[in-house]
Amino acid sequence: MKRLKAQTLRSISIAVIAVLVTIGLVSTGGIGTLSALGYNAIAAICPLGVLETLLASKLFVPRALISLLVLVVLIIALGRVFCAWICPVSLIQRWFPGRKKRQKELESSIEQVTIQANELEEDPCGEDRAPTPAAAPIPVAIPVVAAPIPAATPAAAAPTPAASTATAAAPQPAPQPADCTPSACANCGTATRTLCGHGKPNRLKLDSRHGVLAGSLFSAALFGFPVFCLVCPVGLTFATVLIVMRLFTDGDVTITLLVFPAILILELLVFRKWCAKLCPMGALFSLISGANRFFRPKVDNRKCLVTAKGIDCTVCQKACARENIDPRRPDTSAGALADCTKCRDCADACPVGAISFPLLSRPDRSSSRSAKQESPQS
Amino acid sequence: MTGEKKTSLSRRSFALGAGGAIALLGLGGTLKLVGSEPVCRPPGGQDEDAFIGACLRCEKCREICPNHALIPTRIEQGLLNARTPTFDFKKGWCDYCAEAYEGIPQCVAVCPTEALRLPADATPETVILGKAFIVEEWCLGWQLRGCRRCLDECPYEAIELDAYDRPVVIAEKCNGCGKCELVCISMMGGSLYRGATDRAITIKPAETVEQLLKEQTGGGAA
Repeated sequence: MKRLKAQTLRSISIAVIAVLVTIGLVSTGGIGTLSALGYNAIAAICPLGVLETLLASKLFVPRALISLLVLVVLIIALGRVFCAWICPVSLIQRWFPGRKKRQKELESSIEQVTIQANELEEDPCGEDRAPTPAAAPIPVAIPVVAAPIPAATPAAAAPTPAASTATAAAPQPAPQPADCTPSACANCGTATRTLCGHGKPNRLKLDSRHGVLAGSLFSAALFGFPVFCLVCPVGLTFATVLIVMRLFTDGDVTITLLVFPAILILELLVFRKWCAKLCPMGALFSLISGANRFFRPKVDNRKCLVTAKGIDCTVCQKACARENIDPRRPDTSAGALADCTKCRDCADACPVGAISFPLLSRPDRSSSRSAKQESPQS
Repeated sequence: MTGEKKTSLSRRSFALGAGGAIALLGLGGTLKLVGSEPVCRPPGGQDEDAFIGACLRCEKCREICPNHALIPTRIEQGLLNARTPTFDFKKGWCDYCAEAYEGIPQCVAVCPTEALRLPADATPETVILGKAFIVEEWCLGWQLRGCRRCLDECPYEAIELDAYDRPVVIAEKCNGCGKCELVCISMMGGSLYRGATDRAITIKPAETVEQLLKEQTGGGAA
């Protein structure tokens, strides 16, 4: 069976939850919307909503604080999964696609590296093997250039056509500056580890979303009501579903029918970068998910075109259009790993399937060992 | 901000964040200044400031109401009120969940942020959801047609007949449960008085009714 694309899976996941909420809207179980999803009195309350109402009403509600605590634990365990798998915003934006420039770029990029990879396949090791010994004088360069390659296994690194590494990287030194600063990985001594703990500089990244987050908390405290909740696109989405249903079931004609969709259009379609630039919920989640250690993207360097073949491939980086994380070097990429929504787009885009989301990305000695074992074959 | 060269906040990003924050502050301030129309709240939401400060607009109370008496407030009644719960007494009345849940209001029970919160000694008589108000021109009883449905149905005996057998609300006894509005036959079954836009007896927030009564008596005197 053909494996479903992560994007399809995500759409299904979001749709299932949206249908569940919609059933809740017309039933009497008290399912609630995503603002407080659950059954009856038990609910996962929006963490931002809890903080806002806490500040606005100065009221400590045990139930809300417990929910907040549980969600913080969940976010630490799973990261920003809400953003990719639950929040309806990304699905709405998919329904109304904007410019597809990035998608085209990504596709052409995949095509390009695939061609390069195929060329290397067709032109098998004959030429490549030769430089193996020749590569010896350059090893200074190799462990540094391709840091994630197990430094202890130059044999594994050697099959990398050193020449092509040089030619691929040399003409464009700019796109791969991170190659020259693999200090993070070098520090921890386990070179295969793409996700080492030394990436502190990039753990937390403040951006415009955090400004909006501060604004929503401050305004709630100042004016005594959760201001952001009024314009929250998640809340407005389900409110729109509800009023459209009420239009048909109760004949309730109201300006709300125009105002809510108008706000949504403004937030999500006019300002398409809502998630990456403005959403205070994403900002809050990213503050918490800095502590996340599970299900993080992991690049298998034995498969990755960059490390295994020396092709200048940046497909995974391009696939991460929203968060701008470079799965190969999350510690130095533009986006922080805390912002990873586990959307798996990078894994899907990778032409050689080198990216996975293991429960725990450990120092990974097994892979370097297997790399050693494999090296004689190559 | 983080001190890192690469991770520091770019000027553009800072401006955007500040812009978003200011927009929210502006929205909050404007709404605070403009204020909002009073609407009837479910039990426990009578302290409007506390209610509006904690309501997440999560729809739980509206969903759980066994009498289907709650609806989301429309934006016409204020952006601040939009999506918050209010009553539609034409759909159902508030019996304090006496019938289905032995007098434990379910809207209060499910409210995740305690926007709906009842004092421990609250009884249906002490929690005032609103007050009934009769528009005399629309009322069949006031047209001397002998209708007294509201009086018959009122669980709090808050309606009596005056010297001419016309229904009158006893404001002190009325807690705004909405049963009179639910059963009022004006605007139903063709019993429409010319110019009527609503049922003859409706529940409105206590302060609104006070004002209306003043106007009514004032208008009558003039």
